[in-house]
Amino acid sequence: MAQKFHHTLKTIQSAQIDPQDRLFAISLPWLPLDPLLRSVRENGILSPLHLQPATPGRFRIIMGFRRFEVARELGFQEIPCIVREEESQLTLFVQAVEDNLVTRPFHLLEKAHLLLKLRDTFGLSDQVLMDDFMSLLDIRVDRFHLQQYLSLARLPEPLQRAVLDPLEPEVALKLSSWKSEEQEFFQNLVSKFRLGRNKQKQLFALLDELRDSTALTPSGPGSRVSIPILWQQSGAAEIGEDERLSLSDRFAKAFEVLYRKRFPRLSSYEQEYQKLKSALKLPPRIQFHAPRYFEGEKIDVSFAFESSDELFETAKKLEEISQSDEVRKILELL
Amino acid sequence: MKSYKPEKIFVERAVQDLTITRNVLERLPEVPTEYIDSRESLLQESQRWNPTLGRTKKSLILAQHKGCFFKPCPGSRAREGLKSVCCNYFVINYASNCHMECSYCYLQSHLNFPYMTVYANCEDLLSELQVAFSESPQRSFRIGTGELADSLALDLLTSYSVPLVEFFSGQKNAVLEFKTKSNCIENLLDLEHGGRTVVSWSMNPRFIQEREEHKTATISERLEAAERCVEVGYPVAFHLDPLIFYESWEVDYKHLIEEIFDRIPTSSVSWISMGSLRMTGSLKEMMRKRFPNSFLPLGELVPSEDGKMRYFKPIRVGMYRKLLDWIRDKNSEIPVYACMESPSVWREVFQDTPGEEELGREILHSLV
Repeated sequence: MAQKFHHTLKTIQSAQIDPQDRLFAISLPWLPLDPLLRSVRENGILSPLHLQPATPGRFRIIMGFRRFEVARELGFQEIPCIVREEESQLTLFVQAVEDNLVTRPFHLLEKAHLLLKLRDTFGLSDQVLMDDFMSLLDIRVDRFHLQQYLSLARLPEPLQRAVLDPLEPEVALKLSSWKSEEQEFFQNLVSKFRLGRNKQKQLFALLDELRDSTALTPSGPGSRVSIPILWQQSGAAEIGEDERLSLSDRFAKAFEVLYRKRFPRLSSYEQEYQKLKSALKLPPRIQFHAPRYFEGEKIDVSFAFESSDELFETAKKLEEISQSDEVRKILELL
Repeated sequence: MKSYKPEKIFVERAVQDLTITRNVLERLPEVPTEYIDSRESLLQESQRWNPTLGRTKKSLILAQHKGCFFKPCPGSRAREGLKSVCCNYFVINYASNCHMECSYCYLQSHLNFPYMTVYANCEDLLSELQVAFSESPQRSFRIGTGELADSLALDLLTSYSVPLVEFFSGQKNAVLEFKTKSNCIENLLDLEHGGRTVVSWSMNPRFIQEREEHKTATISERLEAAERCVEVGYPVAFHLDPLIFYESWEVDYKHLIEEIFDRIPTSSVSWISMGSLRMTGSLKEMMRKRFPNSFLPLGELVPSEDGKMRYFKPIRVGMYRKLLDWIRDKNSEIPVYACMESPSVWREVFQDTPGEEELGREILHSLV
């Protein structure tokens, strides 16, 4: 895509540059600028901005949005520039993409917006995006991934900002099907409990399914209970505020009450199993392991010992519990 | 049943003169047809463009099957040492995909090639079967065509059933099963079947059929079709699969079983299978997307040993036991089996875990 271009190196008053004209912008205005700020403060603008004349005496930025933003913040009155005059808009934009790519990695959202801009502003077809741009951006080339990226770029801004921190992109995409107050509520939970990727996904799936379950009626889908109300009604809200517990314990217990609501029969079996196991008063060296989700017929028992006496004590304990009601009832659960 | 009419037919040149192809083109003269060298280009296109299933199902591909048509049922495949109790079943993949839209259908997330496809080289299929049956004359084969497609849903277009029924009528050690949710049985009624073809229906209560089995024949239509098959001497079978757990399941399934036995003479019922709702994680996701009003993914489904999600074991054991009791109240002889279930569930329901040869023999007992 390399092309020759005619240029004039100039110094232009910063007031002549219109940062609101974002035709060629790749970076998102709300992405952090900290490392660049440090560099420009210490060294000034090392690479000139590329500008295009817009209206008489005014210029739009082709390359250098972030540099300009930083220069403005630092109070620069004059900006070194190359003024580009002849090329087509698309050519200039593609050059801007390539120029940015060699100097810094793109954020996922920048890639998403870039694809959307190429499609919606510059009119490129999905086929061209897949053929010419997705590999360039290090994205797997297929329609599914293209759609995922375009969907990310179309998310409401609050959700996009949340993708920076704390939301996982795939969770953000799924969250878009919720109402905005539910999205915000979920983001607050993620921030509050500092949830990583897996926990975000698990919590989303649980809440989403519980919310849809509330709409089930014999005659068909009814109205859903909202996520904040679900959180409140399940008792998770109260647990979440319990300052006697650590943050991770609060989340684990809140998750558990929701899980019990989603899987009532399984949970009652699990509780019964735990109750029976506790009644056996097993020493820590003897462990009972029920099959996962009670799919199976056998309880695994493991034990450890350091001496012959300890082994003998373990054998005695196992013999003692083998005829107990609790063991019989545990086996009946399987 | 909502009949299928494609928007476009693609014909591989290798099958353009075959009977099945001619049948389809004669019955759909108004549908645009394109002749292609290979369906490979369509596969690549679908992988690249990831079109929706609703879109791809509008294209019917008449293709040449180049591999083996005839395979053991995947239910019998051991996976990491875990094995379901198997009924020694074989499948013929004469077609793939289905235009009916059951919310729970595993084909949604299973097929790489998402177009409606019929393999028109039926002669190759019959030759392959002839060789297999001749090589193992002592062995009994129970073979179904309903694994990757409904056995009869396209039959009024293809008439695929005709050569199959006629071929099996002459076999001593093999039985063919057409498994369907359609009522497309017209082609079967005048054929010499020799009792070697079993026509079977997947059955669910009306509540489930109406909400979850879109475009299929109603339960009344299925039973009426079964009655007509029985009238001309076909053995029939029923698959209570997938069993769905919901508030009034007991009343509804009991009523369904009563309805079946009220209308179909027990002497004509060759077997009844039961299988609980099961789905992979990707199917669950697909169902939530394609059928957002379906309540099935919201059931108490947990991962089983084979990785698929099923109802929590006590739920499904409870359902199997009740169904078995209701069936046994009607008839104590009809073979009843659980499909794709673990040995532990079998033991709890049937007090026994048969070997696959034994179970296959028991099911086939009345026919071969």
